Amino acid sequence: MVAPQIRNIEVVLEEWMGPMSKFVLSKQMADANVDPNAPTQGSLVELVDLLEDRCLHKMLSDSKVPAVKEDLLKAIKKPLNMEEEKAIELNRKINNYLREKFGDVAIYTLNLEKKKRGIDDITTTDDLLALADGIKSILDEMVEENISTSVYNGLVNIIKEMED
Amino acid sequence: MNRVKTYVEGLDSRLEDGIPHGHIVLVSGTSGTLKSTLSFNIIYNHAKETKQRALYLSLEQNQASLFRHMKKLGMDIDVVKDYITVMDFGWMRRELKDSSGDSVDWLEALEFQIRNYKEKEDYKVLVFDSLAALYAVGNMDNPRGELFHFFEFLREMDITAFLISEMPEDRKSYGLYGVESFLADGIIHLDMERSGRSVGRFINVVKMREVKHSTDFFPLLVDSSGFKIVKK
Repeated sequence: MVAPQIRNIEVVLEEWMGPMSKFVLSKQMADANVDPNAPTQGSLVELVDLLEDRCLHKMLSDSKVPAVKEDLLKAIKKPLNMEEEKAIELNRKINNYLREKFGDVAIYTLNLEKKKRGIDDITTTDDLLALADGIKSILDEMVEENISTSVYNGLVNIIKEMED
Repeated sequence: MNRVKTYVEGLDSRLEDGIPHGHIVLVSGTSGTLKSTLSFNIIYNHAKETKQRALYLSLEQNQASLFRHMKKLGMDIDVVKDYITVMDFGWMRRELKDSSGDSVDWLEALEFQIRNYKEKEDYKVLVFDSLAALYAVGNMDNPRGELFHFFEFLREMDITAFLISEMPEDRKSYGLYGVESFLADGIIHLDMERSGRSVGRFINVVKMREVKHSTDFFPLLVDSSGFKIVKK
C-alpha cells in the first residue's frame, strides 16, 4: 500500500502538473531511492529537494516555487495516529490552562519540567499525571497551597477528561 | 480593441498598431530564422510595457539556455521575471524518455498547463515553442482533427497565442500538416536569403484577420536594440 505521504505529494503535484505528475513523481522516487510503501523521513526530504530542483524550477515561476515546496514539506510530515493526536491536543489544553492561570511564565516552567523528565508533546497520560505532580511541587514553593492544589486539580481534570 | 504589438520597429504601424487580442498567430519559418527570439521579444516587451503576464511554453530549449540567448540580445530578463513564466517541457521530454512516458497524452498535459496557468496567473499572451516538437512527441493518430481541437481550446482561453511553426524546406506550407495556416488567425513568416557570403533576413505578415496590412516582404534587422524592418 502506498504510504500516505506519497499520496499527499501526488495531490500537491497533481495541482501543478496535472496528468504528468505521476510520471514525474515515479521517476524522482526511483532516483531518490524512495520506497513508496514505507519511505523513510530522510528519503522523503531528499525527494522534495529533487522535486524542487528538477521539477518546480522547470515548471513554475520563481515566485511560486517556495510556496509549492512548503506544501510538499507539509505533505511528507509523518501522519500521527489517534493516540498521538490526542496527546498533542492534551498538551495544548494544559498549555492554555497554565497560561490562563499564571501567564507565559507557567509555560516556561512547564517546558523546563518536561525537559527534566524527558517528556515531549507526544506522551502518555501517566507521564502527564507525573508532570502535574511536578508542577504542583514547584507551585507549592511559589504560591499558597490552595492555589497550587486548585491548579493541580485543574490539570488532572483536563488529563482525565481527555482520557475518557 | 486591445492589441499585442510585434515590437518590430516599423511593422506595428503596418498592422494597425498590433495583433488583436485573442488571435492565434503562427510564427513560421525554416530553421534558424529567429522564430523563438522574435516570439520571446514580443512577450518581453509586452510585459515591460503593459505589466501583463505571459507564458512561454517550451518543448525544445530549456529555460537557462533561452534566458542566456535573450540576454545576449540585450534583454534584461530580471526586469520581466515576475511577468514571464518559462515552462520547460523539454526537461519533461528528456525525463520521461526512458520511463513509461510513452503513454503520456502530451496534448492533454499541455492543455492542462495552459489552462491551469491561465486560472492561477491570468496571463494574456502565450508562446508555444513549438508545433514541430509537439508533433515529435505527440503520437497524434488524427493530427488534423487534434490540431483543430487544440486551436479551439486556445481560442477559449482568451489569450493571444504565438505558435512557433517549423516550415518544411520546400516552403510550400506554414506548418507540417498544412491545416495550421487555415486554423490560425494570423501568420508571421520569417525567412532568410543567401546572397554570396551574407544572409539577409526577411519578414512578412501573410495573414492577420481583422487587420488591414501589407503582405510585402521586408528586410529584417536584428541587433541589441531589437528588431526592425528596413522601410521601402
